[in-house]
Amino acid sequence: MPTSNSNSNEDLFENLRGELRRGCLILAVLAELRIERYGYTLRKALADDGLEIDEGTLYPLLRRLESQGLLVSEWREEDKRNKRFYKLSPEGKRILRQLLAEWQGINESLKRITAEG
Amino acid sequence: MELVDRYLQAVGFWLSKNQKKDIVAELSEDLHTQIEEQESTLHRPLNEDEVTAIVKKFGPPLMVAQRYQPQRYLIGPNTFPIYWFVLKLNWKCVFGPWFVIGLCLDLFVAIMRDSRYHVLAGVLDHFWIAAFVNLTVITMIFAILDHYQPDGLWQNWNPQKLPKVRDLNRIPRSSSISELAWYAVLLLWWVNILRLPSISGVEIVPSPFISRYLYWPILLGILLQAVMAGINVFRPWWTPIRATLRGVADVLGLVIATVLLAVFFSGGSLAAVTSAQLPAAEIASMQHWISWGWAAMVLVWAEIGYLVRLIQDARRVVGREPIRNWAIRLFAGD
Repeated sequence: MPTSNSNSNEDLFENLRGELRRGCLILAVLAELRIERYGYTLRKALADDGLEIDEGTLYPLLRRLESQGLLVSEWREEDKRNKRFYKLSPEGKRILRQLLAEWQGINESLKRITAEG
Repeated sequence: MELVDRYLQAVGFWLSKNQKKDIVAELSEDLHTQIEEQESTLHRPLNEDEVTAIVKKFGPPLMVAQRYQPQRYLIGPNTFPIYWFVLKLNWKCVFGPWFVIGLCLDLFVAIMRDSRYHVLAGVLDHFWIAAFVNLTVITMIFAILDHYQPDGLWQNWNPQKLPKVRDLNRIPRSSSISELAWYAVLLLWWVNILRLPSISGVEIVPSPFISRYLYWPILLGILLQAVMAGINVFRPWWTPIRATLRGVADVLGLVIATVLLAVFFSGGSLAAVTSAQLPAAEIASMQHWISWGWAAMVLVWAEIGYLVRLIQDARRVVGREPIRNWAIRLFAGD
């Protein structure tokens, strides 16, 4: 059954890819929100930097990060429409610094580990 | 933009009141921005298919709304393994045997279609309700335990309190004692010291054929098993010699069980019923069905049990680990 096998391999890859992306997305969103943005421009900024994220993932994530105190948001009118603008809170900035340091460490370790292979 | 409104209404349906307005407004803003941006690129209004494509990209309303909720479960990952263990234990010890025995008894009565045995029928009548209630109650208990479990419950665990590594060569004293008790009762019954309680003047004893030809082999088999169980109480571990001895006792048990079945299937009776009060036809019928019951018991318990134990004995003799699973424990007590 080569088809079902390749399907399950694809599913497996997608699951693992999802797990790998999950933590990275939080880091990327926090980093992008060092500058104040609203949802649509944040998504475009992430996509322009090579990290596509769909709306169904981004908005609940923003809300979760805000409820955790890492982001602050406000509704403001721009181009005659109300938009919700997000940016890092002071706590978010501190956590982002820590996460970036952690990320650098993981990245360095992975580089060494994969180079050994 | 009717489609966008319909979509937002569908998402809003699944959201809680306090977050609905805010989330719907944000999604609406994003959808309208995307539509406007595409319109300004194409220099024309979008047609219905193009709007549909944008809305579809957002995902099904229920899934979109669900992503705004915190992760919710009835029984969390820390409690689930214990919950699952209890469910399995319940099934193996209560509902599994109940189902099998109930099915056999119901089938037996259905085949016999005899009103005298109606008391045996209907064993499965309450099975499904009992199983459902049991599942519900256990699930509720674990959901409550999971919900109210104190923080840090699992942080204070002590590795020193972990159970010892199970020695497969060790014979649990509890099983040896219960085996000893069973063979003691059987022995007393067999040598006629202990009698089955007489109901309405009805006496049930082994048939004359068994008493004449199998009395000593059965006595020897019971004695061998009782002595083995007795030794196991005081020296609770398997050695190749002990496994060989039990193998011999099991072969004897298997041979006796096979002879008993051969007698039954060749039309002979396993039980003899005497009664001064009942008519001869009634006694004959009772004798027939008691023989039938004993044969079924011998078939299930002795044949399968001794055979499985022989396999376990053989594995121990050659130094291999015995097979461990609940079915073997149920049928062979090993």
